[in-house]
Amino acid sequence: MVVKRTVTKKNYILAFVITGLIFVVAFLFGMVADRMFVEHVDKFNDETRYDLFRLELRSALLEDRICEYEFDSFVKDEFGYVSAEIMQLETKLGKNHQKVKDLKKYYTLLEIYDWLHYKNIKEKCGSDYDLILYFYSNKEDSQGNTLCDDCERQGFILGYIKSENPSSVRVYSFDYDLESEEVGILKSLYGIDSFPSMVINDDVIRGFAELEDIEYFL
Amino acid sequence: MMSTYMLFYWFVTFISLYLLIFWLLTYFDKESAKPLAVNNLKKFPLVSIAIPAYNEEKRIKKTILSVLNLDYPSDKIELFVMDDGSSDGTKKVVEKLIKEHKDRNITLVSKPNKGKGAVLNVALKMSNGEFFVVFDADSTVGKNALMVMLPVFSADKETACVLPAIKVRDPHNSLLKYQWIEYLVTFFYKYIMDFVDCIPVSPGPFSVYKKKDIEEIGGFDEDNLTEDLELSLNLQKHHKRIRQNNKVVVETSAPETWKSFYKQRNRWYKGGFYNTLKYRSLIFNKQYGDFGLLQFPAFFAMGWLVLALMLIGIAKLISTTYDFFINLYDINFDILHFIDFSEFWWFSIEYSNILLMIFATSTLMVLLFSAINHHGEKLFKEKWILLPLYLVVYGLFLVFVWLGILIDMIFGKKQKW
Repeated sequence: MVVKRTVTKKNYILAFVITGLIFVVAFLFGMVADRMFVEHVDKFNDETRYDLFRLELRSALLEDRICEYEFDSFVKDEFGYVSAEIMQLETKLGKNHQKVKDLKKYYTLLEIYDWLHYKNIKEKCGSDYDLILYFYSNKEDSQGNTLCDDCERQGFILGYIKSENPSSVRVYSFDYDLESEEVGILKSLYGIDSFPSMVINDDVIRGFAELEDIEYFL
Repeated sequence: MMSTYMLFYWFVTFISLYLLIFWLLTYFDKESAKPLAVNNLKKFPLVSIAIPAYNEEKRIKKTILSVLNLDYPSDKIELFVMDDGSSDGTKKVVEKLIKEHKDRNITLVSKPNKGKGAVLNVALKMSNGEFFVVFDADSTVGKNALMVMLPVFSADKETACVLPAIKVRDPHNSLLKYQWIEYLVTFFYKYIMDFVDCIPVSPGPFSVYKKKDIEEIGGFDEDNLTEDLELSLNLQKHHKRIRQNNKVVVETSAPETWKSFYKQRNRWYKGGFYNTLKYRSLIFNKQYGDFGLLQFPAFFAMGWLVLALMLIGIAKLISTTYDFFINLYDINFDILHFIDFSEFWWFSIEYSNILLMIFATSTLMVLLFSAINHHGEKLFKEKWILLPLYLVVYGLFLVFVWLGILIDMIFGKKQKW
């Protein structure tokens, strides 16, 4: 006598449905979290635009007497962190996600605006803070290897410098590959044609630079 | 790289969770449970019990005494102690016991070391019983065993083998306690597998076979790392039924040191792998129902899948650690910088993954507690802490075992029983 074999179809299907549901719930949960972060960055960008607008108004109102006023810690001092957030969003939602692209472009413009303002004050008033433009790339080739091995490392060093000198150093990060005319103008102004590259005040550094090298320019 | 790894990770997680839920569903689907006949035996057939022993002088006395104490007519039990070329006093201990129990039918067979499968075949040939029991010398069996297990055969004509629950004897250190939990889970699992004829292995301690059936399929494989697994797969191949009866408890001595534990598992899983290859025709074979479609493929693949996942995970961990030290070097080892993390740290967490892990862990917990409950055991105060440890330490160790097997295979290491 042999065993009459059966296939318990019901449990195969039910187990698949339950497992599938668990996965769907988990992924939805993750999507909600991602959505919250998108909104967070969105809100930050809006607040920053408002701050920058006020800054511009003040400069216009004060005109030549601008140097008599202290402006520090007026505009949100979270630029570094937000750029890290946008990077995270890129890995989570994908670089080609429209929302991420939009956030990034908008943020880039705010960065340039902020940089221009501080550059202006620095030139007019001779303030002793340092402005760093950082051009990175997180592009990958078809095999998924990053084209710029040192960019993350360089970004980390710059983040460190910023956190060590919060009131005297401002770091602006730009995606070298971003489809943005403004970034293109910046690149051509300083002759940037490779990554990682940095502009520290008016000095251009091409290629990876160690902490000491950067500190030399500050 | 990241996405391929994550895809593989989701795949393995999905399969694991799927299997877990499938078995839990089968368990809660009470209708699918096959009744275990509990009617009293009307007649007492002759039972042949074979104890293969290799250097077991310390433990064999207890083993034999537990057979002699079985609640069964003593003239209906014939016991064969198969001394497989022991170099210690095993023979002497057994001879002394035979003298002390002249009224019992005990035969000592001494052979130069030939391996477990070979001595079991010798015993099979010598035996006269309707039933043939393999009983490892490192175990003791509960008194009720034959009275409870033999009626199961009368429930149908297909049943060729009935298995008891095996528990770890005297779990006095943490490794033994891990194994104690593992055995509870394993035999709970096998209890569920019984519902759908999916039991893949009949282990050495007190598996009761219908003698006719194992003779029909050619007896024990004499050149096999895990001859018990080979035999049960052979039974499955021939569509014979294997039943699990957890009302009978066999206590066994589990390895007490990590080294001996590693050796045991290396042999088990390696034997498992080779025997699965031997019976690969059953994989995804619809003729074999749930066993061919689900249980056997999972039995074959899960160890390797988890190993691959862990190896990639470890490689990633190493590269992350390497990056961390590069960063540390770049800021002149100012380690305090890392402690001062920003208010955005929560941004980098993989939320869907965390939720999934919570689901998976709770399902595992349901399984663990169902298992403990099923065996009527309790987790003692100090054993509570072992549950999470069981999942982590034990899991990592088993991956280590699989890695060892992979390395052995690559370097072509020969292994005997």
